[in-house]
Amino acid sequence: MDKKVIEDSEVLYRAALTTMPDSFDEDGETLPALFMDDKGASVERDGERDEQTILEVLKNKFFGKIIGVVKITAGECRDCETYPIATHNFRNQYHAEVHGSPTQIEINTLKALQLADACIRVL
Amino acid sequence: MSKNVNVVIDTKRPNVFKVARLTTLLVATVATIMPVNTYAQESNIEQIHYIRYSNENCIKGNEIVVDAMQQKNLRKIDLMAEFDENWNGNGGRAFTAEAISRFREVIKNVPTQPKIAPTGRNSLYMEYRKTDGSILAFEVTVTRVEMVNVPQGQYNKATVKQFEGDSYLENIINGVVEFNG
Repeated sequence: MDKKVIEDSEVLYRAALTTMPDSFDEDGETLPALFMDDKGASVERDGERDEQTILEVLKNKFFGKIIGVVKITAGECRDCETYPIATHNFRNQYHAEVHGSPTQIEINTLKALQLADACIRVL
Repeated sequence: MSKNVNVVIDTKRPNVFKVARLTTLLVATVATIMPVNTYAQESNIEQIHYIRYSNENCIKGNEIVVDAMQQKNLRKIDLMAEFDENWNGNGGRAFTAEAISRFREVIKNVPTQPKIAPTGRNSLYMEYRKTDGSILAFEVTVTRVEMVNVPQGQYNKATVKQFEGDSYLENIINGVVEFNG
């Protein structure tokens, strides 16, 4: 895994916490609000790890506060004209964010809709 | 598009047979989203006689119709008003009283009820969907409203409009009416 470059094929995981109960509707479909944050959307890069490992990491990281996890490839994010950016830090080398564009952090409503439709719920 | 559940409370036409027609599922569904007993007590109404689905608000003769979807959305907004700073664990800002007031005004006035969700940027997300894949979505903030229309789910044909000023509610209502056809 390149720490600075996120390849199109790389899968990004976004966790919805108990504090965000409206991330999914009654049918379990992802709502765009999951991606509508003034800090962009925090995601976990796959980093060549298998999905089960990543889900376990997220579960441990958030101490059982996860109500769901969705995944989307970096390429799909770019197709939605959003901007995945590696933001690894000393605590988590897999941390990344999805921004609205290279110059705008917030993801607008249209792009959030596209992300919500493109992502797949895995938990 | 979300289907509204209207609870019809009829005080002058006791008809136990209509009660029998209710499925357990329907009762359970309504019970989870609507404080029916509380409403009945507050309204000085003794018994709920039947429940029906409807997409319109109406008051006819002896019937008092409560739009349960609207009540559900308003209760969700009331909960949002109680959010503290960092409510979403990602630095989400607490909703201002002004924002909550605006959200309530919108939900009370739209002709059909949308799915709603709080966002992490002091705004309300609202969504309508049709079976053909068409989507009408709004982001409502204190200062502006963004409306996104995606015909038949084709994002390359999506249109985005922004409203500011006092006419925001009228623009939302017009957008919903036009979307519903």
